[in-house]
Amino acid sequence: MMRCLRLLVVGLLLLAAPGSAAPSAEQVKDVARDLVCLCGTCNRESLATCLCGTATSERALIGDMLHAGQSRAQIVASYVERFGPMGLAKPPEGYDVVWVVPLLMLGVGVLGVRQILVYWRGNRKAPPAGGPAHMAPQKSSAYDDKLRADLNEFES
Amino acid sequence: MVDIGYFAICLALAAGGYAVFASLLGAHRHHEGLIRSGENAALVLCGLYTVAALCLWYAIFTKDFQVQYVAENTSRSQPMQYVLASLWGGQSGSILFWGWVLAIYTGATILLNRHRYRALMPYAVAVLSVSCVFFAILSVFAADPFIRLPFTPQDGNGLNPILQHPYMAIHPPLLYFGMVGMTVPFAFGIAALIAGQLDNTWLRAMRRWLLIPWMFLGGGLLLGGKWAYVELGWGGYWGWDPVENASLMPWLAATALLHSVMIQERKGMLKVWNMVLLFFTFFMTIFGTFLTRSGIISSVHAFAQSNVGDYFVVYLVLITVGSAILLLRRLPDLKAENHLESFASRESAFLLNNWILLALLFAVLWGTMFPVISEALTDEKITVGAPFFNQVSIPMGLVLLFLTGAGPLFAWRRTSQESFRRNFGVPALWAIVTLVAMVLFGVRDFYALVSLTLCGFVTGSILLEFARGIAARRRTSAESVLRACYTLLTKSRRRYGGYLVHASMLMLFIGFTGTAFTVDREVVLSKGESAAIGAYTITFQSLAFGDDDTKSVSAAALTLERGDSFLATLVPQRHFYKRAQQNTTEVAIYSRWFEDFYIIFVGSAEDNASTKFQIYINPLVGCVWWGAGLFVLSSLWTMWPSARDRRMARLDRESSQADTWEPTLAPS
Repeated sequence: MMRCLRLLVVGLLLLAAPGSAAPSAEQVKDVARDLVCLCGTCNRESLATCLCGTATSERALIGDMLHAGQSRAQIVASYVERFGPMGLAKPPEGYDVVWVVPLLMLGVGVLGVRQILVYWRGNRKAPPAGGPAHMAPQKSSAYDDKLRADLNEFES
Repeated sequence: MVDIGYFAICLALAAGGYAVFASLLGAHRHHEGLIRSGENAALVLCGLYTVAALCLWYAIFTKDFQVQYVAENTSRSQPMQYVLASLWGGQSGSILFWGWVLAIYTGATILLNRHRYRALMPYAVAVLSVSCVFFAILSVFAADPFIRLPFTPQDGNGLNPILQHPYMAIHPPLLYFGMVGMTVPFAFGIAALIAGQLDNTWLRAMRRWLLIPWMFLGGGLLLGGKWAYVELGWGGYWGWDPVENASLMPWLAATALLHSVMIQERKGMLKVWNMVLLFFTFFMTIFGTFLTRSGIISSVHAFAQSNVGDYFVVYLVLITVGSAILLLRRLPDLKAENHLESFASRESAFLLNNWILLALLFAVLWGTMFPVISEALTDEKITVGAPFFNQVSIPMGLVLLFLTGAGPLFAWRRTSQESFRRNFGVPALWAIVTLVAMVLFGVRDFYALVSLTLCGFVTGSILLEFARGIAARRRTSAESVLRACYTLLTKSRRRYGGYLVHASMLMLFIGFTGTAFTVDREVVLSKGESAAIGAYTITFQSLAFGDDDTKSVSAAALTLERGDSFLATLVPQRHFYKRAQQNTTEVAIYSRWFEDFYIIFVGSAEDNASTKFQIYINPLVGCVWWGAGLFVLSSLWTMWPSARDRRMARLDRESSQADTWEPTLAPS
């Protein structure tokens, strides 16, 4: 607890230091959005929104690094160096599969829907001879539409 | 009392076992007495579970700290209103609560179907009892909430401070009623397969039992969002936490099922698919519980790691294998009765709805499980956080939003070009007007523009449906517009109640879109200092500290103004709970009808000379809460039995008393 408080105070003082030309909180948060808090109690909350002492001091550190002229990539790399790839809010390069699979699922789903529709279209029953279904399909008319709309309404 | 509780749960286990045995044997021998005996045993199980739950509550209320669960999940200083919530605040108590809720559902299913669906009931009772037995086994052998400590502690640990909130007292039970309730439609599905009664009877039997947990689950998720918004202090309401996802996934599956069963009811199609979807929905409720309780994922909601995970794995395997075998046996009886007339039809729209809902579900499942899979394969721990879920779910959500508006515009069987033009004209016009208005209003965010345009489309679609219904009624009767609208809603609850549910989804999406315009500011202020955020000005007035038995409180007072108008005095706080050694934030929110001003007290410098605040201006967030309310009310409206339903139930009752039934057990 004391450690958290110390970190909180240090973080606040760093951010609130008078005369500091540190980057704005928005710039810091923009970088912090790529990272998650790994204090162990916040459950990997975004470093941009986490309110614990560790997150506050880490954001202060990001502010210092931005102030020192480091790029976003350098700051993120430094965080990963300290905490491992678990510190990134989304999987690092080399984990493209995480993005590919949902797309693949969408594609497989499209194929599945198409197959079902084609199967349904082919699932026509042989109409009884002489019955109304035996009649040649006619072009839809406003009357058909009206009938269908009424039937829909009736069925509901 | 705890001994009585433990004894009751052991007896419930035995009663459940007997209910399974008697129901199956009774159905096999067509022996009504045995079937009734099985039902009565299940009712006894319900009573015994109630006794066990009341015993644990008694131990919690009387602060019997010799009971380990009580010592771990409550304390002397815990406010009385949250003592109730301690029943489900820990692992073993929540498993007992789960079993109790399931027993209540089982009892209600039996009592409401004493004279209906007699061919299905013995098997449904058997399936429900098997589920009860599983949770009773967990309570007896793996997560016994009645274990006594060898000593009596002076005080308990207390409920996690962040759970001590009114929303948290309601949100978990709602989710439990949602997750557990999915067992009932599953039981009817399995019963239909075993009994070979695969017409629409089982759909009629289970439809309302599907709507009830679906409403609880959706309501619980949204209430959880409200809790996160006011308690967790990060300005949002949905964080894609694995446990949130675990509850969302069965809701998505159930939503898909609610739509696709309509095709089966009207057209006799999708019979196999609906069974699969029903099993999958139930599977996801158990899988979600497994995720929460096994400790395999890291979550703010997760319970401590324990050996219940092994039991869940066995149960999941049994569910999967058992369902698959039954389904395969009955495949020849589940052939589609009709064909598709046209791709441009309501049937196709429902298929697309199923496609996008399931794609979203699998994306969420994949993102939730990926860290576990990745660690197992590469031994490297990685995080899949909100950026992944947002990136994947937003486009899919927009397709779903489009289908919410477009689906009802397609006619069953086929939609001619002419009616397509006629049906889509008005909603498309609404969409275009909304798009132009938003662009003129200065909205430039791509997803926000698409989302709001689609919201315009859905609004047009819903209004068109109501306008047509009202016009049709007024043609045949001299009703006023309001009267005609009311008649539509009461006479066609399912159809027009469904449109109201769509309207609630529309409001939710409008609320979600508001996140694109969130203003996020951090300010450090000294006393008397002001800061301008958007059109608002806050002035830091004072800082105060307090202390009681349970917590230390730091509070800041700020005045909020807009222009020259004073709006409110806001008092954001930080609490430090002494026993749990845990900080919590108590945010201050000033709500206007179109946006929230949301302020968090982050902390003060050591000399209290300056204090840091995190501020969010959240536009449209109120639509989420209004949408949540409308969702629950419209779902209730849709499922409420109409006069026609009550008449049908009476007829069912009368005919079942006159008829004899013969369940078919012949192998296919």
